[in-house]
Amino acid sequence: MNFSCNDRISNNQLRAILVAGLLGNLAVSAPLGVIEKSGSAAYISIAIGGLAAAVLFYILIKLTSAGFVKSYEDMSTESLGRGISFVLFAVVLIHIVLYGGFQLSISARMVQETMEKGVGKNFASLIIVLVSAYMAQRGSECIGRIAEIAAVLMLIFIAFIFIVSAPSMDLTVLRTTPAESRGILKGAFDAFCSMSAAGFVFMLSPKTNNTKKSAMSVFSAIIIVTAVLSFGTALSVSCFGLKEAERKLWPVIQMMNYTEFPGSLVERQEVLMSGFYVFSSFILTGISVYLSSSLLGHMFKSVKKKWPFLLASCLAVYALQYCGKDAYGDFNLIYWLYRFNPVMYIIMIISPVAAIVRRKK
Amino acid sequence: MELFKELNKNKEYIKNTFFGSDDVVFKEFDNKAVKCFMVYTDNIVDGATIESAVLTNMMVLGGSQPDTEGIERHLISVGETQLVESFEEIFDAVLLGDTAVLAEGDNRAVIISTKGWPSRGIPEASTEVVVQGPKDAFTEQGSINTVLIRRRIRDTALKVKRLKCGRRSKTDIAVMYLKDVAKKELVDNILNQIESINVDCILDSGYLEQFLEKRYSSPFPQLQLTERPDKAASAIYEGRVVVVVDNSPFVIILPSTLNIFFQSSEDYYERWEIMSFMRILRFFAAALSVALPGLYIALTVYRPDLIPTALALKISSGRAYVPFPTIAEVLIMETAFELLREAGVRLPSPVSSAFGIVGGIVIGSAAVEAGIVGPVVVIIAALSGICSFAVPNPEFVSALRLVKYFIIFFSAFLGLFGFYTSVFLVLVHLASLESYGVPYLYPFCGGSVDGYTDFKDSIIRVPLRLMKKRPIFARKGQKIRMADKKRGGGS
Repeated sequence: MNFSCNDRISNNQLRAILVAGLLGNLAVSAPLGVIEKSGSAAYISIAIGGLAAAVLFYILIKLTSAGFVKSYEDMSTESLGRGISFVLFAVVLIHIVLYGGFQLSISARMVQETMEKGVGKNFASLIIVLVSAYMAQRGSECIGRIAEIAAVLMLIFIAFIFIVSAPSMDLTVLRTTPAESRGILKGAFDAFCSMSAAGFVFMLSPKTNNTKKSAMSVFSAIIIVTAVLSFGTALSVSCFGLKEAERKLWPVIQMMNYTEFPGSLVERQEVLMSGFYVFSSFILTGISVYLSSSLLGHMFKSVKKKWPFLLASCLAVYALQYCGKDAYGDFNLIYWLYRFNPVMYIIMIISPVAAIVRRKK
Repeated sequence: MELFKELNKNKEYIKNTFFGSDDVVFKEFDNKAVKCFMVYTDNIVDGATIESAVLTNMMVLGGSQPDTEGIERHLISVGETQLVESFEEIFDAVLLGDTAVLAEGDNRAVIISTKGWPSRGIPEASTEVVVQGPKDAFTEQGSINTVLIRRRIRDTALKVKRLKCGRRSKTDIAVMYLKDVAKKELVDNILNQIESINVDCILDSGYLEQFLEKRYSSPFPQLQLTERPDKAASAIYEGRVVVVVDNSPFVIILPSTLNIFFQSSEDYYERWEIMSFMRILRFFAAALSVALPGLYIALTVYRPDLIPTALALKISSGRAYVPFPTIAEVLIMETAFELLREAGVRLPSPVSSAFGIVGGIVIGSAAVEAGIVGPVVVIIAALSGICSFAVPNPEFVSALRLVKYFIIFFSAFLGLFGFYTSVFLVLVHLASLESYGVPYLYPFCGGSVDGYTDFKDSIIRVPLRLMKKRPIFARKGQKIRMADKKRGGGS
């Protein structure tokens, strides 16, 4: 009413959602897979893959933003008709729910293993889903606002950890040779896939109050995440050594345990650090639940009745967290899903392209 | 109901209506030309005004005015008068301290402003005390409160809209704002909301506050109450709206954000470096007051391995003979502290501070000696309590106190995960709040809207010279508050 940006998310909020949502989760899942392929040059792979994803997002959003209307769902229905958009929504919905469910499983497992052994994985998942549902029920503005705060807090803490840990880096471990270039490229492709959360990006971008600037927001978000992950991976590889880093499930988080903090009041910093990872999990699960319930609402022509769809989304996300048998199982599932991300680029730009074509006609 | 032409009928109706109200005074007199009837409520009128400006003029000096219009124009030497035609208007005026004069053969009455309420004068601020800055505070008299604000804003753009609220109390409400700075839709919205309130009485601004808040289920105040006229005036300059409620020494300022509850008037009267440090301290204190007991439970019960060994040993040796679990220990001390605070408020002020100190020390040390609680828990509860006092707004502090228990319970059941979850839930709740369209967490979120200029008056307070723009509340085109020396401008 009195606040010009109140009914939509701002571009800063879009950036914050992507940073807060992706940073924590990718910090856990991305480095492990990339280290396997690129070895000590994993940080280069992540930098290349992240940069490629950021540039691709920038170009695609710039090209298609002319077709954006108030939401992805409305844009698709208007430009493609109900039938095709129903199929499209179903594909996007499955992708987002799978993403949310698999990440939830990793998050809950990490809560159990690093933070509270007494809290069962399934119970931790339930709590995360319930909190996310509360957040999703409050809408995209609320998620955007909370992400703005969480992203800043996370970045401050991560920056602090990096500054404190940097002196202990052994740069000789990070040296690469031309012979490793093949591995670097393979790792870069993996990093590119993991950063390409096209489903989220293309569903959130039309919701911004200035769609012309959303390309830049997405680009900067991916660059921030890439920079942090790349530096974090370099740091963990150099601190642990390559073999140790390969063995660790969440090297970036576990690295905090080996860092000497000046004047620290607690003994195991990685546990406190994982608290910010929990914030990230809430945001990612929250946005998954929000977007999937919104898609369901449009699929079944009931935009106003939110509760049944919210409940269905929560149940679906929660049920999927049972898929992984152990931490490695969870990682395999999420890596498998990351492989579909490049395909999601194509699926997600169908609607804006159709909208542009329709307008020109 | 319309007035009659016959004075006797009017007189009878008015007397019947006020039957049983012995403080209502009726007087019949002649002004030579016509028979008159006067009615007012004793003790809430200024007797001298009635005698000198009404009765003397009409009975001694006055002469040949045959109707109420003539009486109003020629005989009543009071600035504020009004002709009315219905009984309801007469009753409302009389109950408010005005005097009604009716004349034979006329179906109108003159309402003369003769208000003379008992007042306790302008007091000193008691809940928002400052070291440097004005000491005056609002009183229970709405008209004086309006004057206290007007004294600080000598601008014709300052508008005062008067309304009545409460079916029976007919409480006077004054809505004050700068016409060219406050957003029109905001003012209209507030006026409409007040007009739509259909309740029998509004006894205090706290009543009205609860009716104006959108999310009344939230413990966090979404409007600001202040007893300081300088704060209210400053808010008006920013483009916010002030609602003065008669019979209340607190005025309502809206919209309000979380950031505003950490601001004190003093912040702008003293050097920016010191006050910025104080601001940081307040935010830190608020976080500590809310989180400390919960974090203590989460760490000592679930993750003692996180605590440095020496400290962990001290904590465990301190509570070696304590028979209760940590959660009970914390709750005992927190409840004791709340009781001390509540009792301190009810006691006469000279006794209350001594009671607080003595009570705190005695209960704390006795509880430790008796082995009911460990010494660290006393420190945690006391620190949490002291920290809450660093926040300048009492209403916001009350909300923090409630939230603290929420975090305590979550931490007790789920440990560190519960602690983080509850903190996140509180943040989500805050992020979902709005005050008249302004996000509650502004400028910490949504700050990009105004190019982050509002950050200049948030966790730190930059020098006044750099605060060239008004906050988000001001309307478009009125953002610049400080004129450039060379270019001029500003509004």
